[in-house]
Amino acid sequence: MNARRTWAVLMLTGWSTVACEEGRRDTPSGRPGASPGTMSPRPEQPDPATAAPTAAPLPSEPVELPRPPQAAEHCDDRSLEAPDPGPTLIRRLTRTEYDNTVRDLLGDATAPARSFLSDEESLGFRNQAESLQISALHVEQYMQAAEALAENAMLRIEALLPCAPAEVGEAECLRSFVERFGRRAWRRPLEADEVDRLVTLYDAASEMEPPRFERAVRLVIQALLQSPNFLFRIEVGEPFTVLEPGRPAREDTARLKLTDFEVASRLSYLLWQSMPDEALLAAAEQGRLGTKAEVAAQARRLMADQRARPALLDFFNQWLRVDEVLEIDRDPEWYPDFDPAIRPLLAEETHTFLEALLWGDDRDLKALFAAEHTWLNEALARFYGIEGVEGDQLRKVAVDPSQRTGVLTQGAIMAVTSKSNMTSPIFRGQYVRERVLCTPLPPPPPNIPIVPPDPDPNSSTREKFSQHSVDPACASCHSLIDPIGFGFENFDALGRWRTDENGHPVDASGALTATLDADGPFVGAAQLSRKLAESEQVQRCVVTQVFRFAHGRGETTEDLCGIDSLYAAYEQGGRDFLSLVEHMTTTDAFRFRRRPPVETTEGAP
Amino acid sequence: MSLTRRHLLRGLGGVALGLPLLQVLPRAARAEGQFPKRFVVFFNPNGTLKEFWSPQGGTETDFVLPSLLAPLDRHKRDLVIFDGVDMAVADTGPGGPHNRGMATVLTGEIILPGDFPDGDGQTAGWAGGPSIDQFLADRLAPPTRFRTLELGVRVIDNEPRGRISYRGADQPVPPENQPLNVFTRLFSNMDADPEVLRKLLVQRRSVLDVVREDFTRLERKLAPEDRRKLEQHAESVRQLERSLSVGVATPGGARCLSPTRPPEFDVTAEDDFATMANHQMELLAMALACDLTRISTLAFSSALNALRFTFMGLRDQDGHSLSHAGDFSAELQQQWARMNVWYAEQLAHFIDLLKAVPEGDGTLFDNTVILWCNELSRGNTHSHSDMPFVLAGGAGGAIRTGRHLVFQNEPHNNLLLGLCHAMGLDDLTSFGNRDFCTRAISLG
Repeated sequence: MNARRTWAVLMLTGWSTVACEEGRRDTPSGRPGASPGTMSPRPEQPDPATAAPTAAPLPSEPVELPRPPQAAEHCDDRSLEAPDPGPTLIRRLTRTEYDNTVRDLLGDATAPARSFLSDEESLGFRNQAESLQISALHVEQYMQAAEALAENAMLRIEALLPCAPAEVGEAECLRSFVERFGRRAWRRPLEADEVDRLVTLYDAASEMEPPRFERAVRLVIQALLQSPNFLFRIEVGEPFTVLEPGRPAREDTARLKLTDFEVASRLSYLLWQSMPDEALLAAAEQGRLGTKAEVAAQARRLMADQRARPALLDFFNQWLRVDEVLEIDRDPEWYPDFDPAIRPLLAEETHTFLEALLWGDDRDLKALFAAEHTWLNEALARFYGIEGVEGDQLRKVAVDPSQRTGVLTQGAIMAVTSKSNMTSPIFRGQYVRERVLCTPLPPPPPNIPIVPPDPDPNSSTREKFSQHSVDPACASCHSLIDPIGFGFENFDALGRWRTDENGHPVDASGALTATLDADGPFVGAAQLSRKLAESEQVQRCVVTQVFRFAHGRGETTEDLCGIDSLYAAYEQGGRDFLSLVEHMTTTDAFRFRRRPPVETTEGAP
Repeated sequence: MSLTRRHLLRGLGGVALGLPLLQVLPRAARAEGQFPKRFVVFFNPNGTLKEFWSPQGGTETDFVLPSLLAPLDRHKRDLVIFDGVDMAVADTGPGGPHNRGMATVLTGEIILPGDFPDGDGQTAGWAGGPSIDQFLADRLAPPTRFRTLELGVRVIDNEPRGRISYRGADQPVPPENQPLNVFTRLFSNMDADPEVLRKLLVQRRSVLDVVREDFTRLERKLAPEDRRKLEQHAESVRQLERSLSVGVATPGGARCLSPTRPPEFDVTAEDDFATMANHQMELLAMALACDLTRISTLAFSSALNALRFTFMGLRDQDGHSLSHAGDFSAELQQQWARMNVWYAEQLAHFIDLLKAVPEGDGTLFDNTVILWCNELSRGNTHSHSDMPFVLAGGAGGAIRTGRHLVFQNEPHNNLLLGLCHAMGLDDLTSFGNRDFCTRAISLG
């Protein structure tokens, strides 16, 4: 909770950057006790003198940006040898994880979690431990789902039972069922008293509608699925011994090693978004997940399975906001030819592009931004105005590299960063800042009138946003956003190429500023994308985003050295995503957790 | 039996009287205590246009509702309209003004840091304490099947800007957006065979008895920060167990009917926003009538929403964009005003629904107070000063309505504290962050 990321204040000096209102937090005019009797400030009408364009740039003031991803300092031998694994929180299953888990556990594909409350989103991801809640409504939904799943399971009860109740006796058979099925449901063997407790449901079932045995099995399934042991990925860890040359063996006082079963779950939920399979549980049982090599071998095995594809693609989906294109709508006045049927195709284009990049022959993630091809079928090609593609099947199509390169120039991304009636250089610029450079901008300061422009046939989008660069109140932040967004102006609000907008020629010149290594002017999204692909800040941002997704939390100062060495491995491996993920499973942050402080026992002073 | 409004009306020969006469009655003579008090929060985001909202001139009890509140004119005698109440606590802490406003409006607490990239070099988190609805539920412990009810209309942003209700610090309570789910949850059992329900209850209890032991076991093993998550889960399970044993009761002969079953919506659809809102309000009114809950929040979308009122033909700009447009374009300001008028119409309609439910000699509305609120005062300045708070309903006589109250820099925590008093927590001395709570606004 307390360990938060570090932040840097970036001094921005340069053209037309001026101050947002300073000190606004420190002078809450309505604060009780402060200057009694003062009138609360009424929102004032804008002064035409300040709202109108000003010619001379005012002196610049600092705008606070998050610390950009960069090489970490002070990663000395000590921190590399026994690095702090960072804070860990137990993680609640996401809706996807819940559905996949009951599918693999019970063979039930009804996906009950689709009607659960949506997962809270944080840092752009929907799997962040701190944000995922369990409210009263959640537990009601878990109860209903568990009851329905248990009822469905009765149709396949033979397959679930390890024994025949008529042969070994009902109570005995129920006990074996609890042991066998419980081990898979809770992803670890149950302890004796846990088994005993669940078996008591056989007694409870005696007072219920017969048949008693089936009733008891249903109750056991319900209890297992509503337990925190199922709904959370519980990690307790265990003490371990540190061996150092020339020193006596000692117990590590700062860290706990995850148990082999806990590692198994970390692997399966990272790589499959589901429970461990029997081979993984068996490996844990036999103590074969204790070394880096053993963990890496299992990671490779899981990644070779089909289940890894949707799970790992989901990282890109969430990070790059790909699936949001399924929800877009367009104003018929400005986009009369918008056909909602294009939405799933735009998503499929990007999914296919990503899958081919991750599992194809050339896996250098630079191509994420720099690829000179995309994946189209006839309908998509027609939509983009590209000729020579036939049939429903998507195939690899070379694109004009002066127009399009990489994912940022694909329709899905261009569309989700637009408004329903026009493009948005702000949304597009913010997207690059936040998702690709890992330096999201602060929101507009309070008490500044903000006017989003409307589409207007008499001017270009760029002209309409030009107020930002001259209005002192806006410029300090928007000079970091808009010049990036302007570079995408050759793409309309659906991602189709255009050279003029309402008769105005498109000006797609732009500039990157406040980056560590990519500053400078460019013309068009293709040039911008190539600059991004070559930027170390961008590649470090990719690694940082993977870290957040994999660990379900934001990075802290304690993680910076670990992320630094992850980045080194990533570069060494030619920026291959699967190798990065595999490497990540062998890191200390993945295999250890912090040892909680020793608590005073009851009654102690 | 205490003197109720209807008695009074009859006693005076059935002449329809406004509230002023009732207001002179001593507190004890009102219907307090006879019927449960209900507390409802009505929320819509992105500020308003207070120059078209605040009654101008007039006196405390004699005033004219300006255009943005005009739809509430038929309920004017049942309202308390506030000017000059500030939300200074929302000008503190990390994150942007929308997030800070959301985390603050019902909690009175400073927002926590968290992982939501927002602003000022810091990331916004969740609220720093319980919201007033959850606080009231804790203190009043209503014996209803649902301790509280959180409803949403297209609240699809699952982050701080989409949450107003908090169980405690860092514990947002998400709303249900799907009217059909609300219906199923609240009313599907109403006509079921009592014997079937009894069996189901026995079964659920025996299962939850087993689950409860898991918490006890785990708590001993987990790190302190993990225990907090687990405790939230355990508390939710305890709440579920309590709610299971409470059936549907009908207090004092109120008319409790199962509403019609709503269709299933795509809860993200802009076109269905008004229809979904209508269902949610009907379901909520009946949930209160049936005493399924006494405390509820109803949120109309999220702060910074991307919601256009397409059902009104406003297809160009979403509400958040329009809230920024105001001063520079008369036409866009007009559109933003229309959206705000629509919200006032919804509140007026919801009041109609509550007034249509007889309760004893009066109506359900008599025993209710609705807090209508927003996370901002004004969209295009992101101001938290002079917030647009309105109360509707007298909470069983505890609140003197038909008033326009003008304050200067009054912290909104004082209003939340006054509401706690009106709901029966007379001894409470502070609500939310103490630095921002200087007294209780007296509502009686």
